[in-house]
Amino acid sequence: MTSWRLGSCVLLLLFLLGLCVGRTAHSDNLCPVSNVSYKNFYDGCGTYDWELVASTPYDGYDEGDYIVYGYCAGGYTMCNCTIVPQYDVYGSLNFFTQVNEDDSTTFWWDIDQWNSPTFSGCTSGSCQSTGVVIHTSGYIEFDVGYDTAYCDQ
Amino acid sequence: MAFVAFFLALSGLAMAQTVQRTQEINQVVMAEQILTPDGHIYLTVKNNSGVAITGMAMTATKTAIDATSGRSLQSVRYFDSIVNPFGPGGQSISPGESYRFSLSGPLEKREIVARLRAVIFADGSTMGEADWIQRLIHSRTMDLYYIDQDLQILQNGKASSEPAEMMGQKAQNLSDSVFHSSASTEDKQVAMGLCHEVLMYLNGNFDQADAPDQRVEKAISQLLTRRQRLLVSKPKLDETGPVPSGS
Repeated sequence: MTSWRLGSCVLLLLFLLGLCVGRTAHSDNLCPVSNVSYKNFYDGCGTYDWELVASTPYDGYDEGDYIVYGYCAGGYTMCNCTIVPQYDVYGSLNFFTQVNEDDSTTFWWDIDQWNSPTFSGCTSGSCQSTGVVIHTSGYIEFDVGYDTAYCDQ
Repeated sequence: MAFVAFFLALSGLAMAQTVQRTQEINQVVMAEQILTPDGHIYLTVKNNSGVAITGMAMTATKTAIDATSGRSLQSVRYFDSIVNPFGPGGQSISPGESYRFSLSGPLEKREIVARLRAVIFADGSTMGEADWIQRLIHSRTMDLYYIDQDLQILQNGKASSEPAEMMGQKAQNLSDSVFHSSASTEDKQVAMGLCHEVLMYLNGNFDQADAPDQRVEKAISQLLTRRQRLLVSKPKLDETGPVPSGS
């Protein structure tokens, strides 16, 4: 009975140890990737050409350039007679990473893009006859690709 | 002035470039891997067929050439004017026109070998490797699947006068569940990208002048526009769709 209990304890300990080792191997991200993109060119009206760059503790990855559309507006009067000065609105990069079973990391960007704004007349307000309402819209550009970094090579 | 400088700089990239590799598919699609003077590498694909291109898949292997150039990297790039129907990238590539995939920039030290894997034309015909053609079609099908999931959240929420925040939370929950599942990277990108767009509209990020109910309407309208583009695309998608990979 004692040897059966001892055997069971040893087996239980080995099982728990195995769980710990397995958990440690998969919970540590051996290949953390971060976004270090930078801007190349600006068109003067909200749109940037970005250089998409990622980095790990060991490496940098320059994935090339990508145009991120924004817009510029202003110089119009709102329906309440407020004059809106010139301003720029920029698109943005959103960076995602996914740690894979083989300890590689897949990373990608999706992009907030803006359309050119449109304007319509006011239906109320003290500047109903001269003011405008600005309508803005955009879209997310996604599924344009991804990269997989292997840090254990 | 800055606007002119911007486009002069971009057009400068197209001058004095070096062709590193060429690839032809069925004598109608020509791909050239080019290095520009400023150190960028692109894969330029020219459509020499008589039909517009709506989808493409390509891969690139980036291999370390010495001890200082770092570790290897695998890249996948897609062009799909059906999945991404908005903006300049939403245009199909007409006969005689080209599209440029961006592969790397001046900081990259690895050797790059890019390969065009698959092409889908507007009439539904395809060229290239069968598994990559299937991946493009799968992404379109999954896009339709998640659009319908998000539409259901918004239309049910609207019918029961749910606050926009609650609809946004449901869309976020859907996106999170896909991200934490074993779904393919493409499935995750589609689900997360759509959710992100829905949230941008619901939160008023895209149009702050809108009232909350208008934001919901615009989010629904955006999804319906995407959905319609997918439904009329060729090859015809299976609306019942495959189950998401990994589920």
